Amino acid sequence: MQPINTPVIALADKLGVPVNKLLEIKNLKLVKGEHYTGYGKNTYFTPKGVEEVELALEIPLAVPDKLNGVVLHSAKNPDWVMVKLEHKDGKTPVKIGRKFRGKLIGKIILIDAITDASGSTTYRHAELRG
Amino acid sequence: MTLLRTQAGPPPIAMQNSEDDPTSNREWLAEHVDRLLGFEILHRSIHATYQPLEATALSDKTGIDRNAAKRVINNLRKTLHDHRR
Repeated sequence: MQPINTPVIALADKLGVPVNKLLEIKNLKLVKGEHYTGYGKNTYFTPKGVEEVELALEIPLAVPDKLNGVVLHSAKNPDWVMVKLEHKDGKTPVKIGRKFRGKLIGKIILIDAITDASGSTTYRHAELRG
Repeated sequence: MTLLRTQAGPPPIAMQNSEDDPTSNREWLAEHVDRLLGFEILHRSIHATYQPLEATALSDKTGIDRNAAKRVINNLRKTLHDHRR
């Protein structure tokens, strides 16, 4: 049996927050397919997506922003690669796992932007989640 | 002449991009390892994930040295042993 997805309007009513706030969280922190389907006010959150939205509202730093980026080349330290992030100039170091060493060059990868209370950010390959 | 030509050529591969690649800088790495460790602790606490994590998985997720956990345990054991004597 397929899990029941929650419409964005129903979730906004349940949580008592504006729909636009949920759509903002969706755009910044959630992954299409895994956490939601649809577009705009026809967005449906999966049970996992609902969990992430609730957590993002309660503790924003606990749910990292999601970004896409193109891997340019390996860094000097083989655990890191240099990536051109979308909406950001220049190249940024991104932490990757050992099994991805040398295998990501030229590919578009999903990245978690992990920010701490001071506002500084570390970028990590989203495959290292969980 | 050969020497001059060598000096004018591109830098050796190991020296390329040294200015815009901070990943071999110890301070920079320590700062990022701290942030990733903090996030991992937060994430596991929130999701009540208390299963043991392998040293390699921890190293992948946070960038910490694979032998760090073993070193910490050994240091603790040594300290406790010295205390008892």
